Amino acid sequence: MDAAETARQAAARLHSQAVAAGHDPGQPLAFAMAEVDRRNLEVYFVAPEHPGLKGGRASFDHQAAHILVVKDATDFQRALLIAHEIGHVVLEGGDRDDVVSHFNQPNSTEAMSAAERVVDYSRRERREVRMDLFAREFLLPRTWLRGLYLDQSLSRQAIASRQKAPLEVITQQLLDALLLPEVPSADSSTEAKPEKPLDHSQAAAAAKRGLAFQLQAGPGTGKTQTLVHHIDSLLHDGVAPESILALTFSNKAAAELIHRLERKHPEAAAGIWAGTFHSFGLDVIRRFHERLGLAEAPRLIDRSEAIELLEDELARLPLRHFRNLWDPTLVLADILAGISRAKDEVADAKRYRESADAMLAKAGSDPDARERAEKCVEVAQVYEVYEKILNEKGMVDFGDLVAMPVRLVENDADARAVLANRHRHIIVDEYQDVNRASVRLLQQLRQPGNRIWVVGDARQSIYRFRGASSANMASFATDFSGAEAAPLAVNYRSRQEIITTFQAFARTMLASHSALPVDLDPNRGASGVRPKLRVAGTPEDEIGVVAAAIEDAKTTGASYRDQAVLCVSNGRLAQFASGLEARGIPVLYLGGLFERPEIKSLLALLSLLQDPFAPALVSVATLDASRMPLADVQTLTRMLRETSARPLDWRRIATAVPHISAAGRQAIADLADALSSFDLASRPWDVLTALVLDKPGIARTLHGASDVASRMQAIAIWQLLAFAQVQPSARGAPIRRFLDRIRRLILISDDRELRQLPAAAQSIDAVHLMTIHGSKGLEFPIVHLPDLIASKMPLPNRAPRCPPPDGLISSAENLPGLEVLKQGHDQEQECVLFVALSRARDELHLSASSLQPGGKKRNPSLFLDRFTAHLDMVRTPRSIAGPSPAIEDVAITWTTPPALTDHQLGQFEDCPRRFFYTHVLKLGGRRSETAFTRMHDALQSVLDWVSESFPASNPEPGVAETQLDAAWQANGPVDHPFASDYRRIAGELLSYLLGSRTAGPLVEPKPLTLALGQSRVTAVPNHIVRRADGAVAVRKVKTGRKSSEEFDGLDYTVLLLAARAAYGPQTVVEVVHLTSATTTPAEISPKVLANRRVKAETAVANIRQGAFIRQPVDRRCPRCPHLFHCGALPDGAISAKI
Amino acid sequence: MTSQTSPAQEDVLLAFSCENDASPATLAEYVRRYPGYAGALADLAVELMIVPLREDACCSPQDATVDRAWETFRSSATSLETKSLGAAGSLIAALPPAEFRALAKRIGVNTLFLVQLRDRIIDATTIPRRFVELLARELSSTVSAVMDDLARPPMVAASERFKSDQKPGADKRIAFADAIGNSDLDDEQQQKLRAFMD
Repeated sequence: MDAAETARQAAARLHSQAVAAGHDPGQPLAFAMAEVDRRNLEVYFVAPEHPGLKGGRASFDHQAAHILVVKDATDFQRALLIAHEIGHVVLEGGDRDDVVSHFNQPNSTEAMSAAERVVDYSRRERREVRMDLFAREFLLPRTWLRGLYLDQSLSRQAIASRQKAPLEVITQQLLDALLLPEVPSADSSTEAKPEKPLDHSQAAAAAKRGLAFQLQAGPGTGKTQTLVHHIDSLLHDGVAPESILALTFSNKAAAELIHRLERKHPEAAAGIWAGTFHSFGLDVIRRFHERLGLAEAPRLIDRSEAIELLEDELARLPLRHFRNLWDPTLVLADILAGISRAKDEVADAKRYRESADAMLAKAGSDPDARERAEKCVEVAQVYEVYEKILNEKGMVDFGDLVAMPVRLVENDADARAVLANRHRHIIVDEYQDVNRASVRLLQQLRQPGNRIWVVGDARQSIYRFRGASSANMASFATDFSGAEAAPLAVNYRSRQEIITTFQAFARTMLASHSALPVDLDPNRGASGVRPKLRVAGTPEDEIGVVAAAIEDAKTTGASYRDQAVLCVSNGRLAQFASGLEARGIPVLYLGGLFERPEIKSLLALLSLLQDPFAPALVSVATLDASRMPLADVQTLTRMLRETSARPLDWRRIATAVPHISAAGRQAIADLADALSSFDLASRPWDVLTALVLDKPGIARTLHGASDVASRMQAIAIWQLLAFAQVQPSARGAPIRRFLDRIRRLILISDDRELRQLPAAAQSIDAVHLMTIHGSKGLEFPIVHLPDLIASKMPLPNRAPRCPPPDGLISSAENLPGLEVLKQGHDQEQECVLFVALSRARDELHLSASSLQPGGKKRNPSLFLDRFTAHLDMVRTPRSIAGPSPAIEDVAITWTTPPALTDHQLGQFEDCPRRFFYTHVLKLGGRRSETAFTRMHDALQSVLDWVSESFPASNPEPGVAETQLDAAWQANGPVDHPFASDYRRIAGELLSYLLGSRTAGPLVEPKPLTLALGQSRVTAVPNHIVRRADGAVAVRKVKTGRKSSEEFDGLDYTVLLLAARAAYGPQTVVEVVHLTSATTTPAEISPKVLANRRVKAETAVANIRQGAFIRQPVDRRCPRCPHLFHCGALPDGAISAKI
Repeated sequence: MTSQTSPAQEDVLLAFSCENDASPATLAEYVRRYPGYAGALADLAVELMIVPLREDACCSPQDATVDRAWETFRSSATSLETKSLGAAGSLIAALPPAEFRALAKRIGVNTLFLVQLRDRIIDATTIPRRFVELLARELSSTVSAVMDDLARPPMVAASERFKSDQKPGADKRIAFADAIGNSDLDDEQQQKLRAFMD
């Protein structure tokens, strides 16, 4: 149980005792005062300026044993403040003073903004949040609130007014009470087991007092215990706690360390500085902000905010390779990743630029080398701009948190002296995960008399993407003179057979070259059972095999929660999650929060408030509370479009439309009722909590269900609400900004934190599903490890889009940037497998599919060869078959046969479901408007005008410019600070288009049609020129840049076939890309063309049949206008036409 | 949620630096009063200790010097009992909680009033002599020792003027009579205290 839950349970117990003693929780202030009396404390209500308050709203003086509280607050607020201080006394012994600076933290410890999550609250702030939770729980215990809400059917507003408590507090408690699983109260058996005595290797390590010591601790060897003991021993030696600095890699590890230290040395623990490198860096930045030329409390921004900052500037940067004028989000994410890597190496913009320039000079005339170097130069330019913006706004990003302190201590002797004098005993956990910048920082903290003691495992270095490098483990002796290294000798976690297996693999790892050999003594002895390798058929079959293995383990006494399935990628995890659930196995898995159906439903409901055409009705119609047939959705949305509705008109529309079913009318009425107090300007948090707790009251329904899937839905919704609560405020409608923010998070895959389960979830009996990365530091009795195939283990090396310039990353052999990264990749992949193999305590089950989904053979991972001798192979393993997926076509009656265009067919190929939403149901869906999209719209209108008004000739340049000016005024981003740059770009793109139209005489386009199966498809070229050699070039125009699979789409197939049919076999298709200023002929071989024609015919047939399956793609879905309402479809038949 | 350096922290650090003797017991007191500023106080304490010691660096190697400095901050800096009545810590602050309360009762005040006395928020020059005598008796000390103690700079930045940039000093204190008024004492207690002023 974590500290927050312990606090709450203590509070709940106190509440019960108080009630038993006759006090009335309905009078919160009196209730709190009674507890104060019982503890022999006193309370004084004083004026806000009273010095005893020390600037806060309440304070506790330990010597006087009294609590001061501001007079001018409501009864409930005062009760909460008093309860907070009581919590301080109950949980911390009350031997120190305390100040409460605000009335109530809205968030629990688990809901923080992205930036805060990574850096974590300081320990003091975490304590304060814990006390707030105590206070809330003492006055409004969750069980009691739940009773009022469920059993007595009181609304939260009724409860709030009864308790005279703010609605926000009641809401927060109710959400915790209804959505999170109850944690069983602590009993002595679940509390910490008594500590084992140290073995000889642990004791020796803890006793080390040399200047530099590196403990190489293999998996399961008790490194945290050793680390805690080392600190213990320092304290026993008389070392002042304030001189000890303990740095870890993750917040979880830091909290765990502090927790253990506090149990053993409650006083000293408070003086030790323990936290992550990033939080230490932030602390240093704040302490020395003046010397760094920064504001007192610089704001920390995350990747998503950084992208927003740069988007505005992008228009004026002279980018060519990285120019993306439609949707720069991903490009910026890639560039920022490159910049972050540079900061890991403490390379500033200047150094980056110098390296890039050097690379360009060296490239000479080699086109590939030049391109690589030019890209580096472009990144350098963005880096310069980025730094300037950060500086102007007084912001720092994560990379700065280590890079800035390093620069400070390397250049400022005074700062270095202060830090080195304060932090004299440095202890580092997870040393294999530190980056180069961190090592340089540690080096500067050394001065005569200081000591550094680190622990890590080079074979578990899997955070390369965060800049870590296991090279640092290897170079410890050179980085810190006088260093000594030693291993831990005993593995307490795994049975011998498992240890033998991963040790066999370890011997072959690249990381082992510079590490001490791993030769662990298996403390738990042998089990007599070797790890198994099951060979399955297809990947789908493999899911059945793993399911069977899970069920088999259950027959021997294991529970679901004793087992974990570890996958390399999130995509495969999602497949396992649904596959196992379909086979009746409960899984503990959140996955991508925003992909979950129940979350999307809530977001769809939310979007009803802001999109006037209400496309979300198509999704909302599948919910129990608002069920209606597809035909109703079609009718309603058409009506909204045709009447140019404004937001919220849908609430009234049902009455105006004749042929809607009774169910449909009721559904609309109920929805309108549920959302009646909200509009465009409402806060997402307010709307979502109303939907969850008031009407339709989803929490009530979920709480009633006891199956694991419902538990997980409840947890997911809790997670969403916590996310919604920390929405940063800015200009613009809150709901729109919220949905845009979610899109961006999904797009840049920055939702990692949201995939984490809250602590309370651990009590559910379900199989753990996580990535291998997520499993680091954890252990399970039984581990299942699928996907041991050649294409996944190791994963192929994907070079980052913005690799560092040569020479930026220090490496022994002076390798070019890309090579350094590749070496790191290979090494890391081995570490990933090593981590996975070493998580299991009792049983290890490996598996691999032998066939690809299509049926072709596939090879097992080569890594397996290195240790198969220790495995038991199972060639025909038992498998539990899953239900065959039900593919349901939409029952469509076509009023006329669909008249399709080449463009539409291409879209259908990309995603049939999107085609259905866009072209059959004609649902619009608003997309977010940025300066880029507005520029694009203005430009597009001019392109259309050119095509329509000048089919066979070119407009005079002046005429086209005038048209652009007019379109610009109407649609362009005229109020943007860099409007002139966007206008200039639009002008350039237009010029390129006009230029491309002069390649030859223009031919007036006529409709090009192609017969495909039963239908005719029309192809619409942008313009047609006759080339010098007489052939006709039929042209498409796109505003973006050419992609590598440009010509693979069915749209080109159709266009080419139709064009040749119209103009002869010599006809070519060319595509003009305005952003890259290129004109490229499509080259498609006859064989490929023939295959594609068949594909096109199948596509047309599928459209007629109503086969509109979903085809989710990571990079595409977040930009789809139908993202939030794409899911199950409502029942019923429709008639339609295209 | 942010841990900004608030004006209050600046005041506290300034007050600490004005203590005659930045010794472990004083640090302990400040850390007890302001556990949230423990880190900053520790930083400051190191600086204050190191700077004078560095000046005789010729006499001892630096690491031994630093060692000595840190030795003086040993566990006594975090121990619960700080009995030393040396130059550091006020007489009142040294009392365990039970005795603190008992003392308040014996001299006819409540803890809110006594805290202001302890933290030297009350201007020593306004404290009636007879009250000081009572205090001295109850603390088993001498009148002059108690007067000295009460006259030292306040430990707390006694200010509603957190944004003020004046250093904490005598002019931030309040008068004895004002303290009687702002401590939530009952009428009888207030009367008895005012009687000391005659």
